[in-house]
Amino acid sequence: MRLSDTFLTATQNLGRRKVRTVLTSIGVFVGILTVVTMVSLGVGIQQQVTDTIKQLGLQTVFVTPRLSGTSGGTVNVTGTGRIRPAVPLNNDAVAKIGQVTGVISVEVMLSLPTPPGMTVTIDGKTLPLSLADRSPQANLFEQPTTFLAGNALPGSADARGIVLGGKVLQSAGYTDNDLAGLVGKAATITVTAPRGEQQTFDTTIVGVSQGFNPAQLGNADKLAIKEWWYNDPNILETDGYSAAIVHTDSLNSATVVSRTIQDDMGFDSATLQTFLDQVNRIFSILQVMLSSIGLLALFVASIGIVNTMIMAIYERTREIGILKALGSSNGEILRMFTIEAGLIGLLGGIVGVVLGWGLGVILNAVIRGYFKSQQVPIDAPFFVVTPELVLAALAFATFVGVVAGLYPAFRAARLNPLAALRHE
Amino acid sequence: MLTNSGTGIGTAHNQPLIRLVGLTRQYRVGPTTVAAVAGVDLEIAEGEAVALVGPSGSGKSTLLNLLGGLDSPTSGEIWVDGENIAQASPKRLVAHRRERIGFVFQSFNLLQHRTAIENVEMPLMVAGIDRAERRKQARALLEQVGLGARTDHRPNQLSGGEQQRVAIARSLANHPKILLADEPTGNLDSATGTEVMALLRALNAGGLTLILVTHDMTVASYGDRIVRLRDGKIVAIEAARVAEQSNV
Repeated sequence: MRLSDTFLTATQNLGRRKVRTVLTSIGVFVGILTVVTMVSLGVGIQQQVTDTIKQLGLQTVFVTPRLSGTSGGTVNVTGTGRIRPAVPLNNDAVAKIGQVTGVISVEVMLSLPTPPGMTVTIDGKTLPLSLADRSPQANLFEQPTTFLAGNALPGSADARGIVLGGKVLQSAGYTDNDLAGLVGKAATITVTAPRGEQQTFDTTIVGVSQGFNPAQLGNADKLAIKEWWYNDPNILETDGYSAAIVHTDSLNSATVVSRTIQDDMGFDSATLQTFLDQVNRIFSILQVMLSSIGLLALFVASIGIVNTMIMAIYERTREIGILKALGSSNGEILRMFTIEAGLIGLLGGIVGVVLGWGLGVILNAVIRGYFKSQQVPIDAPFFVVTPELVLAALAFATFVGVVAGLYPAFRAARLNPLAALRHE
Repeated sequence: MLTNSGTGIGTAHNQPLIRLVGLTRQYRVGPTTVAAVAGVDLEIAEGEAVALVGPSGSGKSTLLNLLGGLDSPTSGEIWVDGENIAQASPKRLVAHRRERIGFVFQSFNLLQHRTAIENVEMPLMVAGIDRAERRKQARALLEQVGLGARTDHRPNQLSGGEQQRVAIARSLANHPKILLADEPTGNLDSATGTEVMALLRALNAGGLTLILVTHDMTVASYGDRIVRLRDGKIVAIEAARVAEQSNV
């Protein structure tokens, strides 16, 4: 018997009992719908995280000093509330990192304590000032900063200058046309300590960023404030920077440099690759857990298919006897019923994939609408049905049908032709 | 006169087409063993028509099923066309049914959901012949049995005689050498039964070897020989040929 004829016969047989075929495939459809929905959940978010990380550059290594005792160092909290790392990430350390093979450049970050009062004076106008730390692992959903005038601050240790938020300036009476003229102007920062002592620091405006962004201050300016705050001119030497971003020449270098820094220098370090791996692992675990629910549904569906096929074979016992008398082999009978069961699975799979995709589209629209109304800066679809997922789901649905059909089909194939022909 | 194109090829004239040697088929019924066929020796020549007769339980149907490869003997030999199918592999047994044998049943055994022509096509589909070709052959076969106008009727739209003729057309589709008919007129009235027997007789006259099981002596008289069975053994073989058919 030709394979095409076997398929045709199987389709005709399913068509003869439409209601039963459809009812049986509903189980598969529910299972596949669940699996597709669950697997497609988070794919969009995962894609956005991955893309952002790739944009940030996988050749980058993030270095932070070790603060916890378990990492090899001891936590050293001084009387002034400073937390001292075991090994300070100071200028010597940064210079050493810069000499590691494969390193192109090193950016540093210095964090400041939050003083109760901070203002900036430009042209005699005094504005409140809030500073932002550039965090090493930036918010992955953050839009890149756009500059209305001037440039971003360099990450070097001796960087001086201030980047101000456009909205703050606009609320102080500056118009968009004034902003370009501000770049290069002197600005005076006034810091007030808890006991009321005040100190001023002179710097220069290097840029104006769009929107409500807090101001950013150069590392050298920050260091000056920090030295005064703790009254310790050696604070950089003893406490070091809060983090360093090491740019390397390749992905492989990033891995090697990261290990060198970790093992030989005593700092914690991570590449975006390790972070990316973690993100992927979390999403994978999530998807596997959620898909299990769908798999359970598919297991129940497969029992339904077994049941339907056993019933179909019982009804068609005589037909099987006739086919055998006409020269059908056991293998051909087996193939015919297995294909029939596989087609039930495929039918359920097609419906499940289509509805799963549709459900994803609707949920995406709802979630995006909600995020937009709540001003959450996530603009990625939550449910993404990829072609691979469609193919895998269809193949899996068919596979479930085929596996469920094997036992009944074996029974059909092994029927004694004489007994089958006598069957009423 | 009807002919069958698949007969008369490849067998030496002096050798019988079928030779049964010490053929035995036992069934286990609870604790006891019952021999449905108990040591049958029989030779059937190519082109012969043989009627197996006997009371129910005499083993005539079992013998027919053994010949058709639907059942396997407990012991003994079944030589068909030079091959001992008692020892044949499952694969060879399938080929035996597919290539040498045509079955005609008492209850027709047509597929109810398929039309006459689709039923006749079944053995050709099983044999892997493409659609256009098998449709052509099936149509020719239905015309041969006088049902050219009923090709698209389903079995329940046909009379008993017509259904049996569809079944005969189906049994001829694979060009068998041997036609095995188990009570072919058992579900038909006598007039229709006569028509069906005339058809089978005509096919036999065309060279097809015909072996039929019956308990109706009128039907048996269509054979060249009548083999009488009782308790699984041959008790008599009679030559009994009806006069040449004039009413075909």
